[in-house]
Amino acid sequence: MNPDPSWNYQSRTSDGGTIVMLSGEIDMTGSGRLQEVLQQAVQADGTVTVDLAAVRFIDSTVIGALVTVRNAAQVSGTHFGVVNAAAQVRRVLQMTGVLDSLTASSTTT
Amino acid sequence: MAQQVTLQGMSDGDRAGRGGPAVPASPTAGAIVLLSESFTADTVTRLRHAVIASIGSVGLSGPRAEDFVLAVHELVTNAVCHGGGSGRLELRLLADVLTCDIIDHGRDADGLPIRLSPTDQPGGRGLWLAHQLAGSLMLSRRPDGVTASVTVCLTEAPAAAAPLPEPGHSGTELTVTANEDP
Repeated sequence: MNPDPSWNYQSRTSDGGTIVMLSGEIDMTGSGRLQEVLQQAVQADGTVTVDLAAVRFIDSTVIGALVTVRNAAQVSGTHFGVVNAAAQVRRVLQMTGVLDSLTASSTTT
Repeated sequence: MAQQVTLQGMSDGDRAGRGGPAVPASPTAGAIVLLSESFTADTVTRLRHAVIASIGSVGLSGPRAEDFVLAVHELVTNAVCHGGGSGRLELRLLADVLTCDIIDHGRDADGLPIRLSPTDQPGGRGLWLAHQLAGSLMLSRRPDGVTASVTVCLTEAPAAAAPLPEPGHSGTELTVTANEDP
C-alpha cells in the first residue's frame, strides 16, 4: 500500500466505476504518490471518483495533483472528480476556485 | 498594516520617547522564539505539526490557527520546491503578534508568482494561498536567498484582524522589499 503513514488510500471498483477513498493529511511529501495512484486508477477505469471525506489536510501541491489527473482524464475522455470535500479541504479547494471544476458531476456515493 | 509595522520593529514600546533619529529596532528585539528549525522536504510534515503545537501553546487555535498554519506550510513548501530545497523556519511571539519567517536560499523573489492560477493549471497557487490565508505576505530579498514572513495576532484586535478572504478576492496588501547590500 502506501509507505507514508500520514495519509492512506483505498480503492473500490464496481460496475459504476472506481472510488478512491483518501484519508489523513496529504502534503507535498505525498502529492507525487497520490498523483501516481490516481493516474493509475484513471488508466484502469473510465470513471474515477475520489472521496475526500476522511482527508483532514491538503496543500497546493495536492490541488496540483488533482488538477493534473483531471486534465489527463479530460484528454482521454475519462470521468474524474472529487466528492465529499469538507472543512479545511473544502475551504482550500473553494478558495483557489477549483472546487466546482474538480467536483464529480455524476456522484457515486 | 499593523502586522507589517510590527515586523519592522516600529511598535516596540521601549523605543518610544527616546528622541534622536528613529532607528527601526531589530525585528527580533524582545521577541520570544517559539520555534527555530531547519527543514528539508523530508521534515515538512513534522515541522507543520510542530508549528501547530507551538501556536497552540500560546493560545492560537481554530480557523485562524488553521489558516496561519497552511500559510506557513505553503511558504515552507515553496522554499523546498523553489528556494534551494531547504531552509529555516523561525516562529516568534512579540507582544501578541506571532511572526513566522521562512528563510530559503533561492536565487531571488523576482520570478515568484503571487497570483491565482487558472483552474486548469496544476501549479503556482502556493504563494497566492499563503498571501490570502495570512492577509499579508512580506518577501524580502537577501543576497543569498529570500525571506518570506507572515504574521497573525493572537487576539482578534480590530486593527490587526485580517478579513477572511473571499473566493477570487485578491485585493489584500502585498509588500515585496529588497534588502540589497549597502
